[in-house]
Amino acid sequence: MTGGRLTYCLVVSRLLLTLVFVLSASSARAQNDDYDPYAEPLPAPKPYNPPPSDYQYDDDTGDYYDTNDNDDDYVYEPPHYLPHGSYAIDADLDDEVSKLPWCDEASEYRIHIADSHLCKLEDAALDRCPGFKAACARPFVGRLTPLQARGGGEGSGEAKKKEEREPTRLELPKAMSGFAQVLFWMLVIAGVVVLIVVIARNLSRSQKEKEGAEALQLEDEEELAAAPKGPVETDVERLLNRARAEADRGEFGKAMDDVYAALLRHLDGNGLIDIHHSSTNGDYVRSLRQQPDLQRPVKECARQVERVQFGTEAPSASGYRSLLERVLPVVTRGGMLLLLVAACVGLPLNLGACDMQQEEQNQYGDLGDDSPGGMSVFVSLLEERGIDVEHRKRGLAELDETTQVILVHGPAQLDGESWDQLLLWARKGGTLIVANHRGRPSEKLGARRTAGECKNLRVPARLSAYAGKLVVAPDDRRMEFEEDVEGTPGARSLLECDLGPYAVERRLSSPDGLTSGTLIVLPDSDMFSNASMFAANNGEVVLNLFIGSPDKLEIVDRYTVIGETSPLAAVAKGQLLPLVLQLFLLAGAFFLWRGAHFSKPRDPPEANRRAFEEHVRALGGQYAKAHASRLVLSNYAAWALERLRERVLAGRKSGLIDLAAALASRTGRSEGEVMEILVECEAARESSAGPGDAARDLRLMRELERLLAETGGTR
Amino acid sequence: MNATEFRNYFEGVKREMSRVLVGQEEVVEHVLIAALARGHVLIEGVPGLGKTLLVRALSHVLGCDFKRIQFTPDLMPSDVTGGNIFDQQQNGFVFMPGPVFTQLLLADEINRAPAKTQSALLEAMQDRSVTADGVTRPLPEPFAVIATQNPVESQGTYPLPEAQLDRFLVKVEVSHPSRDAERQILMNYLNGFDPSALDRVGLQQLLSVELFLQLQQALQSIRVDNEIVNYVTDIVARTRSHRSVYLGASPRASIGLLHTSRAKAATEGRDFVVPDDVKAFAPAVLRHRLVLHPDAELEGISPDDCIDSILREALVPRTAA
Repeated sequence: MTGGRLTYCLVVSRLLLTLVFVLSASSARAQNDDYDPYAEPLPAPKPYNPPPSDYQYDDDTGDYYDTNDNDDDYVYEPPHYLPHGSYAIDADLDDEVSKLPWCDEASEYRIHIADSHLCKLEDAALDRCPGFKAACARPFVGRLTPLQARGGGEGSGEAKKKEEREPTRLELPKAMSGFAQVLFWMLVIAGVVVLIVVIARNLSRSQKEKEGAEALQLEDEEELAAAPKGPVETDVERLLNRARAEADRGEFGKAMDDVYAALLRHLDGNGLIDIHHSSTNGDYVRSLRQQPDLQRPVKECARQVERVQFGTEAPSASGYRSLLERVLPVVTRGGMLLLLVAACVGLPLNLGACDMQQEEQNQYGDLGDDSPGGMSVFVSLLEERGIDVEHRKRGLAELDETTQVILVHGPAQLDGESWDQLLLWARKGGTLIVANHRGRPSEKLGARRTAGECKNLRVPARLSAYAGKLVVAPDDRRMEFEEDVEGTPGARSLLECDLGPYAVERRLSSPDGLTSGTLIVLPDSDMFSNASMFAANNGEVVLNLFIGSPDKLEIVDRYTVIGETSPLAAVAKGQLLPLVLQLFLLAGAFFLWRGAHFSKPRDPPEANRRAFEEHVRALGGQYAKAHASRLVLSNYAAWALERLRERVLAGRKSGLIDLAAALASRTGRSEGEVMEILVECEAARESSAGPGDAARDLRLMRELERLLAETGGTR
Repeated sequence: MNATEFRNYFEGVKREMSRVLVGQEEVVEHVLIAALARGHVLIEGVPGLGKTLLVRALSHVLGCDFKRIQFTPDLMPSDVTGGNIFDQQQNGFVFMPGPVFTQLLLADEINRAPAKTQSALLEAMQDRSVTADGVTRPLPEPFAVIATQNPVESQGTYPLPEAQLDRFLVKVEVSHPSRDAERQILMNYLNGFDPSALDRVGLQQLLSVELFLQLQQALQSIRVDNEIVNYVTDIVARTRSHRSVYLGASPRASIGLLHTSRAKAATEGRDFVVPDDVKAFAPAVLRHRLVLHPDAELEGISPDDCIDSILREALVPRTAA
C-alpha cells in the first residue's frame, strides 16, 4: 500500500468514526430530549362552571332552543348537518379491523412509543379490536419524542419504562424503498469490512516494519542511504507532528525537511501546486505566480530549507523554529476549520431534527397510516359515507367553496394569516374543526387547551340523540372557554369532562351577518386516531356529531401550505431553510478552503498519435532539407505520365508527341505548352540523382497535377 | 567577492543591457551566464532580432574587446585565425593576428562557411589558443565566441559538425519579441536610438576586464552538493538512453551544465547550487548536443521535447514527493 493510499484510508476511517460519533451524539441527544420547542405551555385549569343555559333539541321543529335564554333576539342556529341521527358504523369498523395488524391478537405487532399514550383506550377498544391490548402489553419501539412526552399520564410513564427495557433499534426512514434499504445495508457492511481490513493491514504492516527494522541493523551511512525508501508521508498534520518529534530529538535537519514537506503537501492539497518527483522548489514557487501573497512566504521557506540542504548552513533549533513560524500561518486555517466542523456537526443535527419530524409525520401526517395513532380508519369511514376526503397541500388563500368541513389536524402549525383565512372561510358557512396541537390563536378560537384528567366524556344533555353514548377521552386534556372574547355568542360544549368541556363549539358569523359557520375546537387530534375510532362510541360520536355528512372534507396538517409557488417559499414552509443554509454554508466553506478547483488541475492528455498529414509534411520537410526536389519530381513524373497515358491513350505505348497531342485535344491547351511540360518531366525522370531547382521542380509538379486534374482527377 | 556582490554586478549589467535590447531578457541572461562560466554561445534566430547588437552592447558594458566575422562560403581559416605574411621591412614573415584575437568574438552566420573554416575555431574555442605554422599563440582573457545561425535558410549552408557544436556551452534560441517589446523598440528609435553609436545612448561600461575575470574566478567558490552532482549526472546519462536520441550528450556537457548551474546560483546571490539551477540550464546546455533518431525527427520530435521528458523523469534531490 502506497503512502497516498494509506493516508486516504486513514482519512476515510477517521471521517467515518467522526460521523458515527456525531450521529451517536445526535441520537443520544434526541433520545434524552424532552423539550418540545413547538409545544404550547398549558395553563393551569380554572374551576369549571357549567354554562347556565343549555340547548335542547326540538324534535318537532328540528331546531335547537335555549332553555335558559329569555332573550328572544338571539336564536342559536345549529350547523346544517346536525343532527344526523345515529349512523351505525359497527359494520364499517369490523371491515377496518381486518386491515389493522395491531387489532389481530395473533400478530406480534409492536406499537410505536409515540402512540403509547393511546393504550389508555385498550379496554374501551377491547370488543372491537382485541389485539390492541396485547400490543400495548408488548415493549414499544422507536424513540421517545416530544409528542410522547407531552402525552403524560400513566401511559407515558409506562412507555418510558418499557423503552428502558427495550434497546433502541436503528430504523431506516420508511420512505426508503426495499432496494434502497438493501443498498444502504450493503454499503454499511462494505464500509465496516473495508475499515477492518485497513486497520488490520496497518497493524500487520507496522508489525512487519518493526520486525524488519530490528533485523536490518544498518551499520554505516552508505547502507542507510541505499536502503529502500519507505512510504512517503503526505498528511500535513502528521508531517508537522513528526517534525516536532524530530526537533525534540535534536534532528533539526530532518525536522526542517518535514516542515517544508508539510507546506508543500498543504499547497498540493489545495490544488495550488502539483508535487512531482521532477519538480524543484523553484517550480513550486513559480506555480504560485498567481498568488503573490502566498508566493513570497513559500519562496522564503524554500530558500531557508535549501540553505541547509544544499548550502553550508547547519541545521539548528533557531532555523527550525523560524521555518515553523513561517509555515504554520500558511498551513493552518483555524477559522475555516472551525467553520467546517460547525457545519459538519450542524448538518447531522439538522438531519436529526428532520428525523424527529419524521416521527411526528408517522403519527399525524399520513392519511393512510394504519398505526394506532394514524387516521386511516377515520378516513375510510368518511369515504364509506361517500365523503370526498382531500389532503390539502396548497395554501389557504383560495379555499374551495365546495368544501364543507375543514379539519386542522396533527402538528399543523399555521401562521396568523392562515388562521384568519380559515376563520373567514368558516364565517361564510363552513365547519372548521380545530384539532391540532401547535400554535393555536386562543383569542381567535374562543377556547384554549388546558391540562386535567378527563376520563369519561359525556354528551351534553341538549344533544339528546347522543345521550348515553359512552365516549372515552384518549388523553388528559380538555378545553376552557376563553373569557372576554369578542363576538363569541353561543360558545357551547359538545363533549364534557367532569372538570370542563372537552370539545367546544362556536357559531361564527360574517361581518355583514348574512352567513354563519361553525367552529369546533378539540384539545388535539387523538379523538380522530385509529385507536379512538374503536373505543366505545368514539367513532360514532366523532363522525356524527363533529363531521356529519358533508360532500367534501379537507384535512389541513403540517404539509399544508408547503405547495408554494416559489421554491424559496416552499423550502421555508417545509422548514428546510436551516438545512439548506447549512448545506450552502458547508459548500461555501469547502470552496474557500479548497479553492476554486473541484479536483487537482491537470494538463490535458498529450496526443501521442499524429495525423497522416503531419507525417507527410515531416517527410516533405526532410526531402526539402536534403535538397531532393529533383528526386521527388522524378518519382511523381513517372507516376503521373503513366496515369496520363492510361487516361488519354488507353495505355498504348507511344511517344511524348502522341501523348502531348492527346492531352492538348482533351484539355484544350496548346500542344506546344503541353509538350514543354512533358519534356521537362521526362528529363527529370532521367536525371533523378542530379541537383535540382526546388522552385522549378515544384512548378513542374503543379503543372502535372493540373493535367491530371483536367483529365480525370489527381489520383 | 561574495555571492551578493556577484548578484549586484550581474543585475547591473542586465539592467544596462535592457536599455538597448528590449524583450530579450532571457537571451541576455543566458549569454551573460555562459560568458561568466567561460563558455561559448551559439545563438539561433532569424535575422533582425538584435543578435549583433547584443554582442556589441555586451562588450561595451563588460569593457571587453569585440570583433565580428561575417562567415561566408569563401571564408578561409586564415581569415579567422590570422597567418604569417612577408614583411618587406623586416625581410621576414611576421604573424598577422586574425579577428579571433579578441575578447568577444561574434561569428555571424557561422554555418555559411565550410567545415574547414569552421574548424579553425575548434582550437580557439577549446584551448583558447591559435596555432599557425607550428607556433601556438594564446588568446586574450576573457575569450568567448558568440556565434549566430539562421534556422530557416538551409540552402548554401553547412551544418555545424558535432565536434564544433559540442564546444558551444549553450545554444540559445532567439524568438521574436512580444508586441509590447516591439512597440518599445520602435519608440526607442523614434527617440533617436542609434545602434551604431552606443555611446550616444548613454550605455555605460559597468565592468572591466579585470573585474569580469574576478567574477569568473568567484564561481569556483560556489558550493555543489554531492546530490546536485548526482542530479547532473543522472540528467546527462538519461540523454544517452532516451529512445528518441541517437547520440546523447558528452561528459563535456556534464561539465558545462555544472558550470552554468554555478553561475546561475551566483547570479541569484547564492553560494550554493540548487536543483532549480541545473534544471533551468539543462535545455540550453543539452539541446545542441543531442542527435535524434531519424524516425524521431520524422515524428516531429525536437531535442527540447527529449530534454523535457528527461527532466520529467529525473528525480530531483531532496524532493518532498
